[in-house]
Amino acid sequence: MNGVSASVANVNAAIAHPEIDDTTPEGAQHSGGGGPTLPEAGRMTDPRRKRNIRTGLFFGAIAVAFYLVVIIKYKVFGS
Amino acid sequence: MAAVIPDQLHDHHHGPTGLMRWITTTNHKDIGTMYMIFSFIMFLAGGVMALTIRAELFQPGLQVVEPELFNQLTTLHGLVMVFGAIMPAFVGFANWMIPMMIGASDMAFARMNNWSFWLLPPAAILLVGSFFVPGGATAAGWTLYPPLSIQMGMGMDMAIFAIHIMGISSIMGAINIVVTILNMRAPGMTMMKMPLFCWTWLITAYLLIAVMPVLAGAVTMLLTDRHFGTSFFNAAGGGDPVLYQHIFWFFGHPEVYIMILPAFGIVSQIIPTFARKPLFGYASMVYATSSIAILSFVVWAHHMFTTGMPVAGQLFFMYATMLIAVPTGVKVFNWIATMWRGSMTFETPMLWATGFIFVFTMGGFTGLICAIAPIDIQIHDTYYVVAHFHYVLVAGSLFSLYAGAYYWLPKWTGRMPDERIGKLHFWSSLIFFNITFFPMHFLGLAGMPRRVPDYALQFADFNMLATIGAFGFGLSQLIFLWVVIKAARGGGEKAAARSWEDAEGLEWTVPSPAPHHTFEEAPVVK
Repeated sequence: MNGVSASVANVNAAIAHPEIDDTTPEGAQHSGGGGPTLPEAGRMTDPRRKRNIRTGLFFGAIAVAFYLVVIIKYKVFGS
Repeated sequence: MAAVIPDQLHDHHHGPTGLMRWITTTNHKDIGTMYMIFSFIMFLAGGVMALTIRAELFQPGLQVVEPELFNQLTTLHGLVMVFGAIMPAFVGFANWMIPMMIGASDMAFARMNNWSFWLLPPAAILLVGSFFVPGGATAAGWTLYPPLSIQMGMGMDMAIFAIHIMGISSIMGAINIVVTILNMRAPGMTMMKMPLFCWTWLITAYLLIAVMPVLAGAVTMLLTDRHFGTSFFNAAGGGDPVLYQHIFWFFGHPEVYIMILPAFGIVSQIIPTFARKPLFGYASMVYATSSIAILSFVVWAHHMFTTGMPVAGQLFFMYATMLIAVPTGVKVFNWIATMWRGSMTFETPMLWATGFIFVFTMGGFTGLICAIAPIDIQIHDTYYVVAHFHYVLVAGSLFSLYAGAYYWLPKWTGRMPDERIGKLHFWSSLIFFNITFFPMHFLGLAGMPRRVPDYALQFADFNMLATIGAFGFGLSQLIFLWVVIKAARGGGEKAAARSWEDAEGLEWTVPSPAPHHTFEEAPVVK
């Protein structure tokens, strides 16, 4: 098996068997227990929140820019 | 695989109950359910419009509706099915499944998710309600080409407003999906370990962010041409109607892939389960999906060969379009290779998935035929094109949605779908679908134009057949409603956490039905 197909096979194996490590507290509670409720989790406790907002704003800005560029391009330069 | 700890299940929600629960919910499963119910209602509404169209076309001459209403129905059928049924249905699947597949507790922006959904009902009311205003709904075709769209009554303004709202909803939904997938994956869930459904949705969400603003820009310019004295597309003021077509199809062709890439993802989840083999060529599937998405930006003018274009332009768009067959072929090859020597069984989801491959591939082949510029000039705006895109969007998108619905229904409701009724639904849909749309290829090749309520006598037999098929297909969809209601009301066999013998993925590690909150503590994926 060459390198490429070996890596594909590994990926396939990982997909086919996504194992959960139930020796860790996180793994043991994977079915949804014990943690903060959603409103609490969503408010400020999630450390990923800042990163989420930053990524979201980035893509939102791209969308707004595309919208404006389409109109402004044809308004300024005509068709 | 870790066992579920019942004491720690969190199978209830906090906050309001009753109607207010649904209005204020930020739970991805609730919102996913609402998206799916909404899309099915819109599917039925669009279906009624389609059946009215087909009733009119049952015989030559004008029988059922006036030509003006016929044109309104063809326009609204397209808009409702694309923006109201197919797209929201896939967003519903994304809401339900992506957080569970990547081990996230919810979508990244839970409140924005709520807003994304609740923008849709007002937009739908605007769209469908436009039938009842003076002048009726817009009748410019779902593409809303000027000059017709500049001349129409207030139904056109309502459609423009509805498209703006639905566009905002789609963009917010897409941003939510991108951020969720990029930032909220469980530890160990690397990008190349993600289920393919997540990959296809990630790429779809990028497409949405790129092209929905372009459509919004185009319809904003229509609006200003109509009411604020601009002349972007108004030839009388120096504008160019063909410019609108370029902008629209720069959105419109990627839109086709927005409606089909998540379908590829669903089918890629189902086939390995029922072939009892890992998906063949996972990485190549990811690259093929990306290639399709990139190529979708450089093929738009194949919708416009008849507008007049330099030969070099025709050749470029023709060959670029044909190039898309390569990554699509990779996908079809991989699905078949996954099935090859697999221990296959054909439960209802697998029937829909294999049916998808057969019938969607036919739509792909006719797409190649349409891509050939000299042929397209002959068949442009004929029923051949209608047949082609219904093979892609019904046999492609809708069949995959049904495949996914039967596949994940146990996870959503806790009950297995009724196999006997599900199979009846599949076979009746497959047969009636082909009775409806296959004859349209012949009608188109013989020159029958689309969007016209009357036709020459020589087209009568095939039209009669298509109408019979359409009513059969429409009635068959009610079977699905019965299956879902039965499962939702607790009828049928109880589903295990891993509802299908060889189903793999994090979503099958949580109980069925999935608790209201899942993965509040992230799982660790090895």
